[in-house]
Amino acid sequence: MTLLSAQDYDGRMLHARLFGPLRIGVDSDAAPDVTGLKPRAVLAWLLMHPGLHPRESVAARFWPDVLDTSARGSLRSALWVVRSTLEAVGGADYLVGDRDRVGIDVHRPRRVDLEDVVRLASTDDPDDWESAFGLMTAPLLADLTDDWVLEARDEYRLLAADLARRIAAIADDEERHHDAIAWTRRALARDRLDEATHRLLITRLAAAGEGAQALAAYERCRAILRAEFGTGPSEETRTLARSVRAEAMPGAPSPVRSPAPTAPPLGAFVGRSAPLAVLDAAWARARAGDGGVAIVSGAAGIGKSRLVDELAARAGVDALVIRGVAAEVEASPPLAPWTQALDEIASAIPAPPSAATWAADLARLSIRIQQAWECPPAPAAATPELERIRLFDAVLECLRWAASSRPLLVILEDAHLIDATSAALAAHVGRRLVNNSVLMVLTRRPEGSTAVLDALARLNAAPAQIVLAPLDPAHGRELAAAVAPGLSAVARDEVVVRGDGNPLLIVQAARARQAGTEVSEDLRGWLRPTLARLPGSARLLVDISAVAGRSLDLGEVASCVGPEHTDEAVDAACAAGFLQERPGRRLGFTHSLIRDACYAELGSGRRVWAHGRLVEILEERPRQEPAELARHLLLTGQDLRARELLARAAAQARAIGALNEAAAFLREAALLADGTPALAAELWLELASIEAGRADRAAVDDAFRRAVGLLEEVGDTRALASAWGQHALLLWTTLCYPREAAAAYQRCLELLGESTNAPEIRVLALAGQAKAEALIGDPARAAQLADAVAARMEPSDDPALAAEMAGARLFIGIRGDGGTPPSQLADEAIALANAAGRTELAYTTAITTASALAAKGDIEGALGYTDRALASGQAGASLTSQAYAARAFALLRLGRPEQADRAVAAFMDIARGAQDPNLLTVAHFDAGTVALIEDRPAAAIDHLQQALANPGGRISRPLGQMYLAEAYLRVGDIDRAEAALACVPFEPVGPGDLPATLVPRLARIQGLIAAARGDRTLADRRLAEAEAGWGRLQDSLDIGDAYAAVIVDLGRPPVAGLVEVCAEVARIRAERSALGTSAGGPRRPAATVKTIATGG
Amino acid sequence: MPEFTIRATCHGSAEEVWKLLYDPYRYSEWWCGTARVEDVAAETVTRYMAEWPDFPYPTRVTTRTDGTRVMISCLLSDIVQEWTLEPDGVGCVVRLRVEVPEAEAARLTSVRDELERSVPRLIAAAERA
Repeated sequence: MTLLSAQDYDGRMLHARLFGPLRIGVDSDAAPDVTGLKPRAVLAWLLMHPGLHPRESVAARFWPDVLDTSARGSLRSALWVVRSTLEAVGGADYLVGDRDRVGIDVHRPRRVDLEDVVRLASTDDPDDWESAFGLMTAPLLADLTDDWVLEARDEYRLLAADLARRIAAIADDEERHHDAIAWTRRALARDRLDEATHRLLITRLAAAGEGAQALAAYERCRAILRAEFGTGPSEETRTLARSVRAEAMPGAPSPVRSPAPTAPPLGAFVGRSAPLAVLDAAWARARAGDGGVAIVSGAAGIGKSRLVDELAARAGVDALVIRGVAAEVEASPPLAPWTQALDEIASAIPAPPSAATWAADLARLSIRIQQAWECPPAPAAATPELERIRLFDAVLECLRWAASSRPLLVILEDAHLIDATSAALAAHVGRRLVNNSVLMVLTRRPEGSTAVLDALARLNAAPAQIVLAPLDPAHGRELAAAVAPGLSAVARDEVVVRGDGNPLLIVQAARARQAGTEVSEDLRGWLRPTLARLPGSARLLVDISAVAGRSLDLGEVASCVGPEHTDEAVDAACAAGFLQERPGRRLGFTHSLIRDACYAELGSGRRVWAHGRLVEILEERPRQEPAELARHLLLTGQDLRARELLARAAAQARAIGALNEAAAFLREAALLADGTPALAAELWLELASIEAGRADRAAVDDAFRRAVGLLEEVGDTRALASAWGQHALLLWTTLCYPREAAAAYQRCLELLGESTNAPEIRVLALAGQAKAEALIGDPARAAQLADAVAARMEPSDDPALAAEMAGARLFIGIRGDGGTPPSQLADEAIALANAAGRTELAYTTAITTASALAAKGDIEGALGYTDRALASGQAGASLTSQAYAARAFALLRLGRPEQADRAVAAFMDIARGAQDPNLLTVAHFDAGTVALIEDRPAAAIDHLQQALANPGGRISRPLGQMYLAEAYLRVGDIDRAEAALACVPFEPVGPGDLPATLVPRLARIQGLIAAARGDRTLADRRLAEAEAGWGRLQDSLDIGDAYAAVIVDLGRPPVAGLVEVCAEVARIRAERSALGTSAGGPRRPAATVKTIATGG
Repeated sequence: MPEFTIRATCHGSAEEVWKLLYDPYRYSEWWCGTARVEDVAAETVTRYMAEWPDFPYPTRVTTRTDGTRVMISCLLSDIVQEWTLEPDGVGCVVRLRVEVPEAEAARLTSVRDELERSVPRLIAAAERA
């Protein structure tokens, strides 16, 4: 393949084409495609920025969220791929660099189309401008979707528009009208939102004697501005249009129309007065400040939307009604329904005070908020988990802000189709509407996803439930008469029988019958004649709407049928009952069943064409949703482009904490990557990382296994070693399986051997092994490994890695026997973590230190470190809840129960807000533990039961059963106490459960139960057994090792404190004394025996 | 690898069997030939036999990945005992699966004999408690 003519070059010449998909070659030899998204992006960036660059800055640009060392290792791997690609055509010399820098050699001959564009555009010669414009016939780096690519693509698109405008101006000056018009059109094609260019086109068309076209250009301008900004053209443009029209069509009415469509009249409302009354009551309560949630359920076509439409119509002029509708096809990004609703708030409610930081968080979701509130988006949070919490809280604050001035009705339609993140957000918001003038109404079918209901149920938020039943025959006849008054009674009955109580079917059957169609047909049959009678533009609009599976904005409508046909198409499609105006200046189907029928009416060939046409329409939009584009590309067979977009959709979803959706997008992309194993491996590894964030261990292993299989197939040892290193990191950090992490790091080092040149991967693996060894292995060997890492790097090389190694030394200190005190090691580790900008690491270190100090009896010190953690700001639900749990424990031990209660409440609230069942399990376990210590047995029972109800939660289940038994004893329920204790032998036990301590604990509870039953002999025997058991442990239990075991097994520090053998022995002695059976102790009557179970 | 299984029913409570298995200090109560246990750490203990009272047998006491089985492994011989409890009315069923490495195959009979005598002692101790 020849990219550019080589005849102009002497010797070897690198040439690269950046407009369109990236293509490179040397002389006339085209290089093979660069495998992998990152290597390709790195090469593209280097080509756009020739010369040497610090490796550190290039690595940070492409791998911003990992350790510097890891980023440099990934860059080294990517450059290896780039060099291999160039080598294939003898161009490896073009990639130059040393230990610190890398880049494209500027001293070798090269020809890059983008450089040609810049050079040509900067001259004063219009011919050069035309040449530059001609080089930009395709989007810049069309096969890449990185953010920096999108920004550069926009920049060059606007440059092309500017060049076209300059050329047009010269043509206009020289009175070459047709050239001027053609170049103005080209400028508009690149920059369709520039109103001044629209005016130039209108003016030049009019000057060329093309009055009708000038007015059409005005209509197009109007449609575009209305669709994009919700506003009409400026007064200057309207005046221009009036003058053109006066000249071209004297006596004709003004072309300036009302910019906003009016709401369509609602259809007949029959037979739903009872459910409406329920909604009316909920709305009345909400208006009075007692907000809540209502769910309207029913089959398709049963009238859910009609019911909420009626509620919206009755909401009152002072109220604000906003809507979000789930897409009918799997093509929408996460939170799309909420984005629609937020757009409406931004259009209707003034911006909040500048102090409200939540608006900037929401601006990441809603471009309308950016525009209407002039609010630039704030940077995303450091982790997906934290980002999700921030967005959820921001949405809630936004609703409260809107409701502070007007009662707010939030309608979320088709919740059975809603994405998991939107469902979680609905639940998050739903349980917090009390005391706000907000009613959230969801409509859903009985079938399909129950995500919202499940999420609400988990949060104990009980919405008002309204289930719509079929209409009775009388109401069916009333409805048929309302929509088709000309039908005879017989025909009406026929229609009602055919509709079988379904209002939508009754309405459609009645209309079809009135139009002369047999009602024996089905919905498609009823609609077919009407579809056939639609004008061409309206049919096109219906077809495109059907494949879109969502409502279209008016800009999309104009793009679909052409601005000059927009009104005609919209009017006809609405009049025929297919489409209707939707809130937010959108146009959608009157019902999803109508959409389904219209989609089914498309032949397979037209369906593929319609998806392709929709892709073209969407690509013209200023903001595109990669997931949606990918879905339609897949349906047109363009898998490769779809794959890139799915990967980008995954990145976007991950950025807002929508990990379920991100995983689904990536899995689909990876499965599409057949034939390109390196790329597929990259996608599987990315998926493994996301699955780790979802705590789905099986899915992590599956994705990693697939990636490794592909890399082994390719035989890329370095990439394989890197993959094992990445996997080890996931096992170590996100998943917290240190033993397996250590094994994975070992495998990484084995693959590297002695000869592979990958210093970054090697040092990361060594550091990982040091950390793992510090926690689960030999502290002395851990210290050796840490020294080995230190010898290979300076702290300034990678401050974050230095901080992690300081954390490892802290573990060594906790497990070691003296030397530097843990608190001093902790202070060093925290300072390094903060200096490296790793607040989550500083947070973790503080909690770890708090737990270690608590385990050693320094409760004041422990409290100090939990407070340091909490004072450092939000660190995600998991870490924050741990800090609060540790704080609660410390406060309790210090005799400050009220403060402990507040800490418990705070971490339970955080766990609930995060809606992570496993985190909630842990939180319930901790809350139950604290409640038991605080002698609130009823609360302890409640929390512990909920904790034990999730068999997958990472808690000590045998300990949980014993705590539960003790709590039952304290409320006098001996049978349940025995039942809980009987479960202990069949619960899983791991090292983190500290099995040796479970035995005396069990014996103690057995003793308390015997005491409660009045069997003092057995009680004393069991308590003596427990005392002896603890006594034996007094000398043998290594607190450091026990602490490490808990972290390894449960993936977190022991937030409720570790074993305090002396305290346990003292407690049992007190209990034996209370029982009166201990050696030399007084005997007490049996009636008082029960009271010992309440002793702390 | 040679292996054998022993199954027995305990009419005492499962908690008592569980305590005996999880408390290495009490191994001498039921494990034939075991005189005493010392140095109980996180996962390892040192066992001393009546026959060789000064010769330490380091032993690992741990659980399987699923956490429902107690694993007792002799670190000298690599003989592994896997103990499982299942509910059975008011009592429980005790299952013991023993793996003997090839290198120790000659000891299979004596190991089986030792444990066939130990399991009833374990059950008796639990039922007595």
